[in-house]
Amino acid sequence: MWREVCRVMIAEWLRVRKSRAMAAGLVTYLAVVAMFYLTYHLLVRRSFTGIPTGFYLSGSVLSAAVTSLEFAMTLIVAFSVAREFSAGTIQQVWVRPLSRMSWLSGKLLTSVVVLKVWWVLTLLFVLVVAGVQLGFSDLMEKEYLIHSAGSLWWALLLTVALTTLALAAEIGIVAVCALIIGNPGGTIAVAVIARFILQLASNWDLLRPLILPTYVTAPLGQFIAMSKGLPLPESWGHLTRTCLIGSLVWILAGWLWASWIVKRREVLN
Amino acid sequence: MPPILEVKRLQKRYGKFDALRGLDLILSGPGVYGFLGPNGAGKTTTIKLIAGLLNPTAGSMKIAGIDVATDPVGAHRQLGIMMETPAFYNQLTGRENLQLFARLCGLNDGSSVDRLLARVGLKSKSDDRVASYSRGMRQRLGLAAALLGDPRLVILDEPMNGLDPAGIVEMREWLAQMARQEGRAVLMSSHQMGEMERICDSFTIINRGAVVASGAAAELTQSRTTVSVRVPDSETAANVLRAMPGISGVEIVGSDRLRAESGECSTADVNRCLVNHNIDVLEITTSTESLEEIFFRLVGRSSDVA
Repeated sequence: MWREVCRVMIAEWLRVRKSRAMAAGLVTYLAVVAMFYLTYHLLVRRSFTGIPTGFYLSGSVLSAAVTSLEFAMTLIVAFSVAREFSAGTIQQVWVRPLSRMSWLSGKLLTSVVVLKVWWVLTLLFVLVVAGVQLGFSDLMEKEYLIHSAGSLWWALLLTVALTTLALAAEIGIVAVCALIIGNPGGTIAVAVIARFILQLASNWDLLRPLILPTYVTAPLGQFIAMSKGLPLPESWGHLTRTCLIGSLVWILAGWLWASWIVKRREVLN
Repeated sequence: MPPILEVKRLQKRYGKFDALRGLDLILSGPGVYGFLGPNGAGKTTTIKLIAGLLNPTAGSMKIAGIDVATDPVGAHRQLGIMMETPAFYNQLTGRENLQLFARLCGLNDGSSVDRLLARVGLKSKSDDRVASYSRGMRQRLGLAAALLGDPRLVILDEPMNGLDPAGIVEMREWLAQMARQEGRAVLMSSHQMGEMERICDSFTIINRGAVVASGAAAELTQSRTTVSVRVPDSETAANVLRAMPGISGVEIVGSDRLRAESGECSTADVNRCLVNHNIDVLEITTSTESLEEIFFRLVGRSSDVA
């Protein structure tokens, strides 16, 4: 199966590298990240209380950028999966000697890799500019050490890893929508509306642990609180366990759902 | 050796509508097989079921002895398919499209792509984006994509659509080459009866989701041979022929002319019979039914979809 998945990933790369939409999306996304950076930079200079560090600026920009990344992810998956159905190219692909699940896995892994590259580019961008502006020093309050730079680096690393895992789970769920709906516009509309409803639902404490976007935003929220020296909502250990289990359950659910749908999906037109 | 394609009691139901009702189809070996039927008869549904793009309600399909349901990947290794309007990635060139599909087939060297582009006459346009291709060029690229991986069974849905006269002649030559020199079985659906009659070795005609006739081209077209006779008195001759075993459908078309379906009887048998009854035969000719006549006789002339 993995050889088939690799074949699909290579084929997908042949398609994606010529996609102007992908290039335009990346440029737009980086422009949005730069805009977020400027906004937070101004915020830090004018109204920040406490001691601003590069960690706070990085966490804030990443937290704002991740919403854009989620939207970009929806676009990428919708155009990668649903577009095959709406354009009719699925008829060329599904008659080749590879299983449908390999095809879907290859598509989704390529999307994960693309998004990971975007996420890493964002991280590098904010680390460089925030580091130049404010530096990554220990978080001190009147000569008392609140958090060392070492523990903040580890927290940032953990935040990025947990967010990436939750984004991968979101990719699987959007792919299921794309398989069912079969056109990019409908997929994007449903995903955006669902994301908005889930954002509202996450205000209820009872529902929050069940909602996948919580696992995208919660580590970033925790990191921002840590970088400002505020009390943490929960321990990193508890947050890591919750996010890991939640994301993995959603990945498994998305995988099972997708494999069920993809086997039964018919190409009618 | 198992048949290249064996379809048994294939059924497909959409809600309450039976698109296919127990269709049987066997392609025993290499050759060009015509697959005919009016609009809505179930041709494209059958092709999509064989390709695995639709799930059957009942029945079985085997390609070179490999069950499509249990081993779709193995079955697809033996199958190349071109749908009626082949779709491609418009932002890529013809060559890049083929390279992408070749990767999906597990083909890593570019030589097969170049060979196929040359074969379908697209070598000079291979680096143009597919968005700029005409319909005929897309058909050619579709054929090249179907031949990737050297399949034993090639299914072509309306391959002549969009081709210019020169393209149709080339397609005819490619089909003959695929079947006779390369040993492939080619199942082809088309509405162009003249072309089908010229190209195909065997036909299957379907209507309302079931096979209504199937057999070798010669068997089908000669199954209904009509003998036309000119005699001094057509009434007397008609009575003689009506009594002759194997003759049916005797029809008087004038005072000195009649025609009948000769069935198993040869022209010589008819002539001998009339002469033995002291009837002078002034002229005797035979004609066989064309594929188009057979088609209309079996499925009717209604333009409504089935």
